[in-house]
Amino acid sequence: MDTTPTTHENLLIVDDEGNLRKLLSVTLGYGLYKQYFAGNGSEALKLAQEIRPDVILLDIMMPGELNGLDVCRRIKQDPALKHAYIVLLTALGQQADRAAGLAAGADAYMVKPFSPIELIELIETRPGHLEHRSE
Amino acid sequence: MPFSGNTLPRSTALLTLLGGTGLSLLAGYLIYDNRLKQAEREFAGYCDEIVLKAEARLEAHKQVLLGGAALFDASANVTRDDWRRYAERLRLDEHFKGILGFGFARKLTSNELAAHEASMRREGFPHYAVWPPGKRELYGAIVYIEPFSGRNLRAFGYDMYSEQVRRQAMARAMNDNTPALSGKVHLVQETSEDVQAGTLMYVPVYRRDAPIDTLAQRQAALQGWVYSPFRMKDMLQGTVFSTGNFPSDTVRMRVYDGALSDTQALLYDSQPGAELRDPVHLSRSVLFNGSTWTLDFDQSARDMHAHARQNGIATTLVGLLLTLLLYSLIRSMQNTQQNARRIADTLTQELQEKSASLAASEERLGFALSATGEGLWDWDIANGKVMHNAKWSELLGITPPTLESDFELFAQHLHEDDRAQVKQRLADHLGRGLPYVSEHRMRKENGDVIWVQDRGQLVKRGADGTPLRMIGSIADVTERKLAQLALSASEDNLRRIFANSPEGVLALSLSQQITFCNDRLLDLFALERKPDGKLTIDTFIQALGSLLDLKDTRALRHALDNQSQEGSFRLRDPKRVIRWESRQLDSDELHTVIFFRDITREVEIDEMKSDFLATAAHELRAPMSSIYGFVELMLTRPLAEEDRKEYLQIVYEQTRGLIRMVNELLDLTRIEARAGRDFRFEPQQTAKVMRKALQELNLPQDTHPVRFAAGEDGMPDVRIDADKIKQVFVNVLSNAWKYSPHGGAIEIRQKLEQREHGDMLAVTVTDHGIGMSKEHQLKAFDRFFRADTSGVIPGTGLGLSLVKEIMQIHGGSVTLDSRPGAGTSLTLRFPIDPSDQKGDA
Repeated sequence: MDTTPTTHENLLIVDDEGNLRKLLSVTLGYGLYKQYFAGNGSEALKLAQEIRPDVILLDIMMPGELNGLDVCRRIKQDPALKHAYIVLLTALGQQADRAAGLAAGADAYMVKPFSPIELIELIETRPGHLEHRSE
Repeated sequence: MPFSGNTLPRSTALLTLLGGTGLSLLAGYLIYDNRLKQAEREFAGYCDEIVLKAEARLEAHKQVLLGGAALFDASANVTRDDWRRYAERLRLDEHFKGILGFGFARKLTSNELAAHEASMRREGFPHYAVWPPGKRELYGAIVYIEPFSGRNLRAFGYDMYSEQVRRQAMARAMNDNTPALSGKVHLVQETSEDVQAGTLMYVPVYRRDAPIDTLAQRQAALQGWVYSPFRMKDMLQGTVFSTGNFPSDTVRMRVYDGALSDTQALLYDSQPGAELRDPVHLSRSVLFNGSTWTLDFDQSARDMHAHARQNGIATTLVGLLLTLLLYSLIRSMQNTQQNARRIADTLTQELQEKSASLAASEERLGFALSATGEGLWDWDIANGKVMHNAKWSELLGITPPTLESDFELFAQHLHEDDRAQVKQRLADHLGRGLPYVSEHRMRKENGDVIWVQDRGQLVKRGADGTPLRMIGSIADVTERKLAQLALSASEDNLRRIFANSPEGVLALSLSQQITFCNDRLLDLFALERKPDGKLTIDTFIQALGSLLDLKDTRALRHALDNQSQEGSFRLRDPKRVIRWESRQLDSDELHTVIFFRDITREVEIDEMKSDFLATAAHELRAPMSSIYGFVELMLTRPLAEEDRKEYLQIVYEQTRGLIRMVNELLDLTRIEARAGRDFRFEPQQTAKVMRKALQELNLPQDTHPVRFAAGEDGMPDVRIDADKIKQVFVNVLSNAWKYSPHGGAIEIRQKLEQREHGDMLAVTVTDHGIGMSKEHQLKAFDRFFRADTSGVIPGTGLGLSLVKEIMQIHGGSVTLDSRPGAGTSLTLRFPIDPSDQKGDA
């Protein structure tokens, strides 16, 4: 894990599939983020409370009691966590699925298969992040 | 006059002569007097008979009209064609003289007038218009009139309700739900030749199922009138007046509309302008459902006297002749006392009998000769004798026709099922004065069954009130009755067909009243059939209100208003999807027909299909994400050779997974679609197929040793497709291998199981791997279900679906038994067909 002292934003990657976690990790593994991983909803929620992530990449369809939408909703309802920038990553590409995602409080929505480069752009140009960088 | 004593005095001959002459004169006078009285009685009798026949005529016409009205009651839509066929069956010109036609007039309000005219023009009468023109509150326009030719064409479209006399009768028919006869009118069918007074009879037709208990309900429910116009002269001369033994040349009959003999109301005069001297006058009334006709009869008294005198003189002459003969006989045979006595006895007796039976036989003769279309009867109740005309016998197929019979003969010819009822009606008439009009079945002499209408009237009682004489008429109404029965049977058939239709059917009139709905419709919407016929489409939709979402209610309403042809909506409870289609029909009564179909199942299947597609798309997207993502990274970033290799390995595996998934999906859908039609079943050993599967898989024997348990061989053959079952075994074995990542033996056992419905061969594959929870076991055979979602264990989630599908096609089954951490046992069962065994099993 990269632990550059100047920027240590916490990144939480949540996906039940190992290959996807690997892809996301490699994609964003250029030194700006401290990466954490979870394979299901309840694990993700627990970890989030612990590390208070700045960015969460969240799969929707996962095994277990909580799916991605549930996790998203809970984080956005938690005053201590709601500042996190959440990107929903999902195979559900219907208009209604997207609307449900945004209604749950997600900041962005990407449909699988997605372009790693677009994902990097999305995260690097997110509103709060730019302000932070410009200071 | 019998003689007494043993001797015959000489004076006897002379006394006989004198006495005989005196008796002859006396007899002549008595006969004269008797004949005069009898002529008066006969005249009165003729008049009564005419009244009875006129009433019978009107009653018969009423039955025809009621038959027409029944046509409307039985069928929601009586077309012009139906009407024509009914009229043709009645054969008006043959059976019903004087009836000009047989029609139906539709009730219209001024609001409906324009739509009605347009509808008739569409039907093929481009110049049709209701006449006389002008705006009136209510119309009674003639729309059907049969025969539809000649004079009757002039009546087409005529609004009878616009004319006062007709209106009175039409209103009475409507308001009282009764057949009504109009007053004297000038029929629109009359030309300038042989102009006759006319009258019309109306029977109201109400909307089916509509309540008609109150006056307002009857006025609202009225659909129209079945009616017939009569030309009075044609009717009375043709059927009533000039038939039978009525002395029409000496008697003048005048018929007036109403209770008074008013010249203005004269309907018919049998001898217009005739002057009778010293007329004997009689007046009778014909009553018909509240209408009265006055019948005036006149006969010259001189004619009656002259007739009686002739009879008297003839009797006296015959008497004198017999006296002379007797006298000469006595004279010539005085010695032969015995002979004389016998002859005298005989002759005197003959004389007596002749006088006594003269009146009776003449009456009978006249009666019997009346050759009308109806059977006439005259019942001597005390003696149980019935006199009747030849037509009566003919009706019952009695040949040669008799003119007199026992009452029992009539009773015997009554149909066995109707006999008690007819006897009861006769008893009610004689005992309680109820009218005797009966429609029942009778058996002809040859056993054929006919329907008759029988009516009669008690005309004479004894001093103590005992009924003595009843007269009446009987007519064959089989054709009408059978036509009615056939119609109602075909109506019944159609109703049953509609009741069993898988579609709900709803028919609406132009004014959006519900004219018909079948039971299936009520089932579909869990509605009760209400006796209230006034169900409009609005109330129907309201009734659906609790079942429909508000949105759907509005949509349905809107769609129907805009005459849209089809649509669908969802019911809330029970949850159903209903599709409807409407058709426009070209009639006021049946204007729109809507068919409702339950498409819940189709919609469910549709939803299952799109669910499946969504899941499949999801499952395909996951590996595609890895492939696309890693390839993009490799294209855009400088990577260490080692990383690049790792990523390519992932891409390769994911691609292979995709290929397998597509193949298995195709296999699954093909097997499902073909349902085993391309399977090649052959009786063989499963162990042999199992060994092939193991060979193909080539499992690492050091970590996963395969053990065939006892019973590997020596099992019965089963009928299987070897390729498909090999695939089943491969899938099952590779699962056993994949889900025991830490190694462990894989055991295969074969066992014979005895079952009630035939023996089964059970093949069980057991591993010692990670096992599955109860929850996972339940879903294990679902498509795309995977016990491991981490991606560590490769798979498509389709393997067990395929196993299940193939086993089902073999008539077998697959079951799972597993404990988390302990391993999984999967059992495949194949049915054993004893005929497949080669005898070594």
